Amino acid sequence: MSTNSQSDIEEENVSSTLRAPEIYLSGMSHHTSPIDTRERFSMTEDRIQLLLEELSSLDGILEVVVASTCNRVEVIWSALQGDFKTSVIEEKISKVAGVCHSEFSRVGYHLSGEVAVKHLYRVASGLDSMIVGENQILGQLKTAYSTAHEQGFTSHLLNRVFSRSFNVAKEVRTQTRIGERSLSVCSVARDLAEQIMGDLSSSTVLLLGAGDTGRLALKHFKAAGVRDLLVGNRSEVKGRKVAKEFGSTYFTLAQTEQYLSSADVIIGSSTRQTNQDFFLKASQMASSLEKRKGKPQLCIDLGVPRNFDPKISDIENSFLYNIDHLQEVVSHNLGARREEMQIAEKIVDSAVSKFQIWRQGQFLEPLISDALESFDSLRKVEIARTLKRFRSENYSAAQLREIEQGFEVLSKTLVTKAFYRPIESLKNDAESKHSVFETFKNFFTG
Amino acid sequence: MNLAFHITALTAVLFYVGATALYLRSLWKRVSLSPRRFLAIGAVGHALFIGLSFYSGENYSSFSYFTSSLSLGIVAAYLFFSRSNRPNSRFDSLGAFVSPLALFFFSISSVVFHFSDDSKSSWLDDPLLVFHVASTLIGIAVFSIAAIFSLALIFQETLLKNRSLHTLTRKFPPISSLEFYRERFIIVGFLVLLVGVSTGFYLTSGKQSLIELGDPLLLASCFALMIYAFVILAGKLKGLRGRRAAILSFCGYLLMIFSLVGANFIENFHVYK
Repeated sequence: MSTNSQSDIEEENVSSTLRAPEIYLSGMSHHTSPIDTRERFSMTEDRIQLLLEELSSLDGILEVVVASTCNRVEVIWSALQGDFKTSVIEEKISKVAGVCHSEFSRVGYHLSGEVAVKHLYRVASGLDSMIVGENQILGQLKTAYSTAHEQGFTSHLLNRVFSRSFNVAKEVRTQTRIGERSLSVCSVARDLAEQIMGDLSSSTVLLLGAGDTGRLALKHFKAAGVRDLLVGNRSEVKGRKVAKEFGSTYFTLAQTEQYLSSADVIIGSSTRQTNQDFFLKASQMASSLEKRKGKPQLCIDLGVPRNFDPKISDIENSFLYNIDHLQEVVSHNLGARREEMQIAEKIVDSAVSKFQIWRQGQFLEPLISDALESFDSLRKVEIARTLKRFRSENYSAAQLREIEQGFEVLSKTLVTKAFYRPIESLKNDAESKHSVFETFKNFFTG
Repeated sequence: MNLAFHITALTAVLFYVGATALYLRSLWKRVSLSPRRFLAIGAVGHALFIGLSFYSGENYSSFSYFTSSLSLGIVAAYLFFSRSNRPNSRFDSLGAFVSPLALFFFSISSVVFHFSDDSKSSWLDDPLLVFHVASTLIGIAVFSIAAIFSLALIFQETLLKNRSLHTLTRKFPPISSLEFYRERFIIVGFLVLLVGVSTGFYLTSGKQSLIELGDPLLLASCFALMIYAFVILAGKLKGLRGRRAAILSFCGYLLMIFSLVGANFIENFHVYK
């Protein structure tokens, strides 16, 4: 081996020990790609498993996590700095998804370092979601991470960044009201019912009109714990079908008055001709409330033209909301969420800075441990040398053992104490980015 | 003793004011300090203040003691209630009504905190009189909590009826919970106060001059009790509830406060003046 090539190898070794692993993120989301593209790249559990195996087998890739949801496909991995292989990653993702490589290049993005960490924190907090503040993504990220972690595809860097991202998401959720407000008409209707009735598990919901909107509303109420559901529809076949789907009771529209007083929430989503009477009149509502001895009733009118008589809202203990009222609440909630976003972004920024400080500390760890090892071996050599001198004199074995122990304690204490301040100073200076002179000065002055 | 007396009074006032500010702020913004803790510390200071003033050897008017104890009773009843309903943090928002009300009664007790010629021991020696005072105090404290629930219900109902769905509607408990507790507190308050009023009548049965028909205190108290009786009966029999029941309950409470505070500012109307 020539001298030149030897020095090249040495140089390479030195630079690789100084290079620390970096975090990278490649993917596509609803911001960059339409739904049909996302559909093609969407991954089942089997495909995620395959992609994890394919990527982890690549040279240079140290850790990898694959997250696939309906709004994004993202691969988060760590590799030594400089080994950035975006094209290989793109190829692998495309290959596993069974889609042309160029398509990913068109809609995909690649982030690294601080930007990648920030993106991950924003995703976990729901700030990058289509519905800002939704928390479903956090559960999906946790699943993605645990799938990779359980199989040993992650190590200290991704473990740290993921665990921090879950903490950041929690912080955002507890310190802001970003996820508190509903952003769909049906969930606003459910919130309203909870505002009036409290716990909905003992409430009864009556639906007039078993169309798609009505079914969606029932789904929301069923998810909120409502057990008693009543479905009234013009077409008996369709009505019975929906009633069966939700385990509820079917009735004909002519029987509405009979069931009216037992309902706490009445939802109207039927189609009414403009010249036709309202499906629910104020007089019917008044008599229903009388039968209920004033127990409040909430009427949600999702129909256009309106299903319920607007005069219902004048009756005491009845609350009437039509589609415009609910839409207004949705818009208001959306605006409020945007305001909360600003606070959430500050939380994310601060968490990213803290993570970067931790990262810089990580760069120093191998250097510090190498230095300590080197001083320890020096210490051992010097002790051995000194003991040799003592052995040449007439000391007993017990005396020599005592001397050796004394030297061990003394030298270890000296090394620990002498290096405590420089190590602390190095760590602190890495965070504050001091000059070499300042760092050196701090070794001895603190 | 004098210094401790002032320190405890000042602690109670400052923490009640702090709790009021924090509760009100928490209706709009997230607060890092716990208003409930402020209220609890204020209550401890308040209890010490009452204890110290009682054992200071000075004779303060029994009305001052009564209003001051009522203020503490309201806070204690609320703290106990909100603690037992801890999972539902929406009840915490009612503290925004409780702490100002407690401050109000505490201020009244301080304004009229004058020395009295009555011997403290004279009324303490009569167990029936002590029972009368205690049950009346507890009854009014429970009615105060019921009034807070009524007020919150009117507030929440107005917001929901007018479709003003902003942060406040989310902060207050649901209408059904407010209705449930309003009703329960009124029944409990009514029964306890009825015991208090009955013992009062029994105690004054030999002193006819004290229960003259024109006594505003007596009239107002009777009217208030009648309103409460109507609200309870109409609620059970005719389903009177919601806004109307809450307004009536609150009117009953205002009348009761008049009988307690207003009538006592008029000379020679009641025995505890």
